[in-house]
Amino acid sequence: MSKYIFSVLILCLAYMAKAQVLQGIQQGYQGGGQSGSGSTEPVTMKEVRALRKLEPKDWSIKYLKFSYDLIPTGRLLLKPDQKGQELQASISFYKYFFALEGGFQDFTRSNADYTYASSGRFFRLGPEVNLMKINEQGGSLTFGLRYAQSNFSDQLSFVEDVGFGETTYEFENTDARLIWMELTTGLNFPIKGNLQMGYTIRLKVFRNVDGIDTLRPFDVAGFGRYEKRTSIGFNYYLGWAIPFKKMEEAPVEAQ
Amino acid sequence: MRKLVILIFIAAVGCHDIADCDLDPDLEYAVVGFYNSSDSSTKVVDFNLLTNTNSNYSYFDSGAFLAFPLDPNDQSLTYLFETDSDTYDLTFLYEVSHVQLYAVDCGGSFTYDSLDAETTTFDSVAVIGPILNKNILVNVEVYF
Repeated sequence: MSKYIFSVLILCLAYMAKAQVLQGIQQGYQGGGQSGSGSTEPVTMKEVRALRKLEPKDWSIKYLKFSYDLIPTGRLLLKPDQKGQELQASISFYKYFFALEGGFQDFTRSNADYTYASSGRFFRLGPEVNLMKINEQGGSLTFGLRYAQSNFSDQLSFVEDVGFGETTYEFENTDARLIWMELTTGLNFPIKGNLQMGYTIRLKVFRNVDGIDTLRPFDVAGFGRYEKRTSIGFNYYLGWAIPFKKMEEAPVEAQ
Repeated sequence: MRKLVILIFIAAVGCHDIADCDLDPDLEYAVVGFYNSSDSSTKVVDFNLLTNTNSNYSYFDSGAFLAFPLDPNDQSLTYLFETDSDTYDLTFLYEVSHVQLYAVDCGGSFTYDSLDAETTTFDSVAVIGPILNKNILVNVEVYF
């Protein structure tokens, strides 16, 4: 049941975000539309699309952003045996982004009967498109694709009596590789100056593994639980944008 | 919006599966059914002694369907069945396709497949389920 609650939450988030985006686009054109009169007449989506086509397209790079994922640090505080870090670099041009992410994970799980350790490095890269009206402060609602790859190794050691006396069994994968694709959606917003914060939700699909032996992996760096052919991931980033052009400060309401 | 973001953050960090180890479908023993050669009806057997070639364990058992553990360190295992008058043998041939950690609380689990069986003493054997799995009720039928 918990799996469905999470999916419903993501669906609600998507609808709420889309509603806010549409409202924001309409308000933007109402406040400073082509007429310049600040008219409060309702603006239809057809008129919004027509006005957007008239806007000049600036393909120059707006900013380079470096972000740090807070989720692995939060997980480390709750579960000290699950170490990991992830960084992201992305460039922004016109209404598109190109992101490169990378990190590592070292997980250890154990109880009285077994010990399992998984260690690996991963990276992801791919484009995103911003669905919000282009704004110089850096806010965005994005949908994107990623190609992802993880290189990992793992070991399983356990004691069991299956009818032939208590025996210690040990298995390992020394050089395994997992590749997959991701569909992503994310929201990013400026906090103050060049400091930005945002999150990304990922649907991981089409996983393909090679280099594994008898041991079937349990944890795979960057992907999650191997047993699931599709997986959902969540990242929460704190980032610093390095503008290539001067970024405007967030507008302050007139008193 | 802020509350929804916090809710999703908590769900992302806190959500995890709680698996029941009994839901692991893999078995580490083969189920053998015994039948009369004459009419293929089930046959309740009563063996005085059961041993195998890979361990010093010996036990007695009776019933129409018996379970026989397989040794994951080998690819064949012979069981010997002693009655008052005869001694029978049944050799299992198998492969360990993979081993995995089924869930965090469950420990290691072997998956056997490619099961085959042969005998020099029973009338005939038939492998009807080559995978050791809870969904397959009988793996081998023995007729004698």
